[in-house]
Amino acid sequence: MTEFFNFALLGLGLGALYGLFAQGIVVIHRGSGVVNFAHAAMATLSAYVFVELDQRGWPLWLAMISAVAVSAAFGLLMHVGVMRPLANAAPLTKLVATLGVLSVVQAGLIGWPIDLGSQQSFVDSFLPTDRVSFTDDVGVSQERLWLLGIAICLTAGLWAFFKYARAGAIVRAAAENPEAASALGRSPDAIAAANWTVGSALAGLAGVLIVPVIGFSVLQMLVLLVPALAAALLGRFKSFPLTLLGGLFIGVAESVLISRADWIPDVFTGPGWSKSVPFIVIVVVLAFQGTSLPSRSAILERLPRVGLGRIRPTTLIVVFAACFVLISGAGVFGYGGLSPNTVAALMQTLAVGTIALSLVVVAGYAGQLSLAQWALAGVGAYVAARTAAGGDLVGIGSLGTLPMELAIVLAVAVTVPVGILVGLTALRTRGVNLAIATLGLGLLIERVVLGNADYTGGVAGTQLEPQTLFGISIDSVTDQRRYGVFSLIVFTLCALIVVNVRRGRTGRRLLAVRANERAAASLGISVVAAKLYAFAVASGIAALGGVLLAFRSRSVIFSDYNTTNSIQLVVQTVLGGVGFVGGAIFSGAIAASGFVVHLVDDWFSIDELLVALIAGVALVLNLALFPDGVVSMQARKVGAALDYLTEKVRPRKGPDKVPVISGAGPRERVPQRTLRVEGLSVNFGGVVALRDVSLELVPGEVHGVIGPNGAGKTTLIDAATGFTRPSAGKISVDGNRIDNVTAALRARLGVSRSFQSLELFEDMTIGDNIRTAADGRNRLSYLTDLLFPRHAALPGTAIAAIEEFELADDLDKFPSDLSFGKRRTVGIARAVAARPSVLLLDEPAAGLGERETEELGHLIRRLADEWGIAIMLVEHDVSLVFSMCDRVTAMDFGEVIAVGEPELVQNDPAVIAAYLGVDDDSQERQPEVEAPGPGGRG
Amino acid sequence: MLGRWLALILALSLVAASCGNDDDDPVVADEPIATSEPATSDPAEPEPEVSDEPEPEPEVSDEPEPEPEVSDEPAEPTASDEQEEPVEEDSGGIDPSLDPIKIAFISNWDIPSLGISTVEKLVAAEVAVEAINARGGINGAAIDLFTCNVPNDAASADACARDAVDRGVVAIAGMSTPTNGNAMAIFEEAGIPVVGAALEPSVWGSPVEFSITQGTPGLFVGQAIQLANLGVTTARFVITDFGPTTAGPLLFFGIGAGQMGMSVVEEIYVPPDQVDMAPIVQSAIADDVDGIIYLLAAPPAILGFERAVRQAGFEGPLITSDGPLDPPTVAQMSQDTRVASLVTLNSPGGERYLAEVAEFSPGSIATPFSGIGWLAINVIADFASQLDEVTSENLIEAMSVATDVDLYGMVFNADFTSPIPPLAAQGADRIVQRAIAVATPNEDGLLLDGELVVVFPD
Repeated sequence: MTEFFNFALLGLGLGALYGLFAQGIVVIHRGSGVVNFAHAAMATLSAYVFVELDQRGWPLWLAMISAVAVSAAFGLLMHVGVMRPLANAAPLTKLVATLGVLSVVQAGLIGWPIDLGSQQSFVDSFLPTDRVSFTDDVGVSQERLWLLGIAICLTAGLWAFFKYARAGAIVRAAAENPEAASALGRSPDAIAAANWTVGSALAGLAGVLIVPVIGFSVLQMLVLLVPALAAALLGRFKSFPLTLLGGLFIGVAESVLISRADWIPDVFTGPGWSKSVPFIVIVVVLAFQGTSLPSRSAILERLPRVGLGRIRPTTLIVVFAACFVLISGAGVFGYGGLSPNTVAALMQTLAVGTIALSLVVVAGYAGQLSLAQWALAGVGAYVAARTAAGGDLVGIGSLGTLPMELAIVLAVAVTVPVGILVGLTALRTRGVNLAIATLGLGLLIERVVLGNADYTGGVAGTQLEPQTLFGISIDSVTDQRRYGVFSLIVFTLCALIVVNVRRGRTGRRLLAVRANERAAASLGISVVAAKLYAFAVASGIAALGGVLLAFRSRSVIFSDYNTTNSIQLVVQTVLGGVGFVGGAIFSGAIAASGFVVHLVDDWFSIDELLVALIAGVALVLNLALFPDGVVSMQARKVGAALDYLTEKVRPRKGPDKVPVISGAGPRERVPQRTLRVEGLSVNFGGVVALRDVSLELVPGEVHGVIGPNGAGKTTLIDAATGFTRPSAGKISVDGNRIDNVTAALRARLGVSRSFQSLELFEDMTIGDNIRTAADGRNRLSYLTDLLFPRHAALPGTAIAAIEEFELADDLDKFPSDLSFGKRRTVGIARAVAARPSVLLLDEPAAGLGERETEELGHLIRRLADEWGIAIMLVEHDVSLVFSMCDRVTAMDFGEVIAVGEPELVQNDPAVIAAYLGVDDDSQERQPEVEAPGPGGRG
Repeated sequence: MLGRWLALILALSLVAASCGNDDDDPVVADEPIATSEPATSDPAEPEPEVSDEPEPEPEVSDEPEPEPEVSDEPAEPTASDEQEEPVEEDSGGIDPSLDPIKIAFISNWDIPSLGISTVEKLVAAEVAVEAINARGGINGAAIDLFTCNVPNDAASADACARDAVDRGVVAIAGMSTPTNGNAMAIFEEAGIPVVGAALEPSVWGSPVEFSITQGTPGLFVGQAIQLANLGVTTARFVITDFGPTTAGPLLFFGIGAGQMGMSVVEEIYVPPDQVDMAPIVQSAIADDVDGIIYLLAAPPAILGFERAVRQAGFEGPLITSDGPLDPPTVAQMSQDTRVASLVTLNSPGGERYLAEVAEFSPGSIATPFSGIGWLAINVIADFASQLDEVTSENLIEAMSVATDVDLYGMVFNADFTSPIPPLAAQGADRIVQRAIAVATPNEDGLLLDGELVVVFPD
């Protein structure tokens, strides 16, 4: 144990620095919602200023204050100059912008205008360094304990400020609801600016404190970023104490694993584990803490635009043929093709572009930001290269020397399950949490497998013989052009798969999940299946990209398949357009050794560090100009131009546009099913939201549910449809229990719902919103869509819903183009298009005018009478409820206080006391907590 | 781009035309090029004393520095250079009517991702070419130097290699990098000799690789021997975890240690992003270790490691190698740390290298490791000067039969106590077996036998 304590004490010091570094990230995130990767740049800048001033003989205290002030000023400048212009951009775009700033600062310090290079400087510690002994054998330098003390004090200060100070409360409020804070006269922008300043000052302080411990070099602070992000992740980018604990845990765990004590299993003492294990623990903890569906309070963020996945066969053939001729040197008109180096640059572009295609699927379409795509490509490369070379796989044995064809198939077959394992983290984490979790798993693959000499062939490495594919030599040395053509074919096939996914039912499911997991689940879409599918397809494509890179070399190395490249891939692809296949091509072209870089290198002789500086500045400017990516902005123009040209060359016969609705849909009755709720109770911690509620929804009947705010109405819908787990009770459809099945499965059993907050798929047209609801839930389509995406006409129920809700003229519009009333109608139409037997409507009349409410009432009535749907109508407009419902249940404080025909309930004394005519009182009697989130007032 | 392509086609046509003669066997000088003694050592020789006691002077030829031999007949022009202009038409002794001889220098002097910029490597190659051209080039033909940086990725190495082939270079001077990718295969395919430092397994077995240093095998066998000579009985190998590239150093250090009867305890891998060296050192000094070798990746790591070692109270020898060290780092290093070097500047060649840097690139840094590039250019030029027609094929043929190559006394002579046992890695036994020297850092540079072998700029 002596060994353990010694290493743990050493780790506490570094852990404290991780925690301190992470606190600044948390402060900025709390104030602006941005995960600031440029935090490392701020710490670097501060450390540089501190070292410079110290070496110039400035007093220590003045050097420290100046350094922290510079960092704070830089943070403010970054907010004003970069983040404010991107205020309305997607969070992913903002994150990438911070990476751009990081790149600019690093290039500026390493090369120009400040030429530090790899220089390392040390300053004498200003903290005591004498050893403190706790026992004869256990002790540590005082410096480490001081660092721990400073971190604890600062954490306590931040915690107290945000919890008790008025200014802290304002920041909290602004972070949770910027509009509300704005309405109260607080400028979210000013609050964000203050947080950027304070957060950056904290980064600066961490930079100053760390220099005496580890010295200063420009790239050193960058390596603090990853563990600091992991620490912040444990604190959910919100809790200061948990963030510090996360930092301490990582520091101690790293240190103890390095000790290689006897009690540590051997497997964890090998290369790569000391940095990976703490990360994995945090990911696992998060996975257990997370939820399978976001809560009602989850804020829907703006998402990057996605392409339509439309294929223009003529354009495809022309572009492919042109590339084929250029690469192969096919001798057209005496032209011999591109130079070998240009072909090599194109091969690099196609290989990286293929990996970027995987990001288009997983991040662009499915909205799951993965920072493990290069690592997954590395798994594919590893399996293919090792099996083609006859080497063993991760020490478990060799399959013999496989032909290239089999090696590729095996690579994809192995990578897909690995990708699904990575994707498991997406089931319970989202957004930046997911990104950092995948970063940790990518790190694990990189360090433990790809970076382990024992697994990659030892001294000799992985040496490949010249390869053939179906008997044709495609050795990249002797037959480089053939390998180039092979790369072109693989990329084209992958691109076709990606656009097929986008166009088909699968693509709509992915986009639905990306836009709103709750709404997707309410339509019967399995969020779990959609996410894992996206990771599986993306992994397969990434594996092919990795294979393209691996077989380019006879001596295969795996160091390129790292997390740095994964982050870089996100930057490149977001810059191009993460929702577009063109964005992937752009990503490959601007990658290291890609086509654009090759041309720049060929035409201009610019110092690489200067290129990095220019690229960083260009990145930030580009994001400000094209927040959805360069390709995104040009796609429509190019598409229109191509359409125009096509029309000129080959005029289309018949009508310009195939109508979505070709005729009246059959208004057939839905399957008749009865939903029964018995003794349902829901608790949120110690608060009872529902207590012993029972009711029955029968086909063709509209059942109203009324009650004051906080009565538990929305919770009842949530529990019945699977969005909230009940603590007791039974829910059944036609006598079959459904309370243990997921929300998606309940929807597929015919139980559908609408949302008080609408929750439409904002980046899909009205037509696609409805089509998504009406799509069959055939799981086979996950496979068939890869090759033959169905473009079937809208099913009858969807057409009927469109007609019923008079949406025919709005099908090509986006939800944001419609009035609020119309949006409500779309929400109900979408639910109806799923052909539900039971429909639970959550305050559908909220925000509607009198006439619109009246029309809505008629519509709901028809759905019950003509379609045979069993409807539950939760509504505050009691006149609507009493005028059209067959039965009414009144609730208060989570309990049923009356049930029966409208007249009876209307005259029930308990209802009158609780709700009708005593509105003022009802507001005073709201329970303290009903459910999390702003939507929880049901 | 198209213009370049057409020019290349034209050039290839001319090459094809010039190859029509059956009597185009390479003309190789009958006499050996080298002037120094063979570099192999006598196993019976006593072990050299290192550091604390005077070390035997490196064996340097006493013979006067060989002047480049100029052929009586002008070399046949090569057709592949049609599209490029000679670099120095007016240099003394350069015959403007002769096509320049194209040589490539490929190395990794700029690695932005690691923050490494060792531009002195490039400077060394450039001044070597400038000096040779100033002396009249190779038999009157100027050297046209193509330089290409490999910033730590295989694709860049491939691009550099293809570019070099595309430009029609006759030889590559270069220090191999951990990310050679296809480069050696491309040079093999093109039949272009590579004169380099043999740091990477992929080059050891290549028929076109001609090492001028002992490379990785000798460097790490040698460091084990040096540690044992310093009285270390139990050594620890600490290495930055750059994955598969760690395998070679570990293997050869083990071989050297075994040869000297020094035990080696379990190695420690330092994660590349390890910023706090204290736990690493705490672990490294366990198990009664009395000597540590630290193979670093980037200069900053060694300072942190060295500092942590001294803070932990470890007093045994710490040895590292000079390859990635830059002068500012050396200036901050403790004099207790030993630095293993592949080459010495305390030699006729080293002095010439320093003089040429001072003349052609005043103020630039010169280090032993960067001197390998200078030496490689000069070795290629020496071989080329013996040929009537300078082609890559002729160079390979000449280099393949040469036995005593003049390395200007820059490469240490062998001091292995016995031959290296059969090496596990394919081709490793091709590497010239020479020794290393262990220098100590000084505020002015690296000291070897009381003399500076690394010179800092004023």
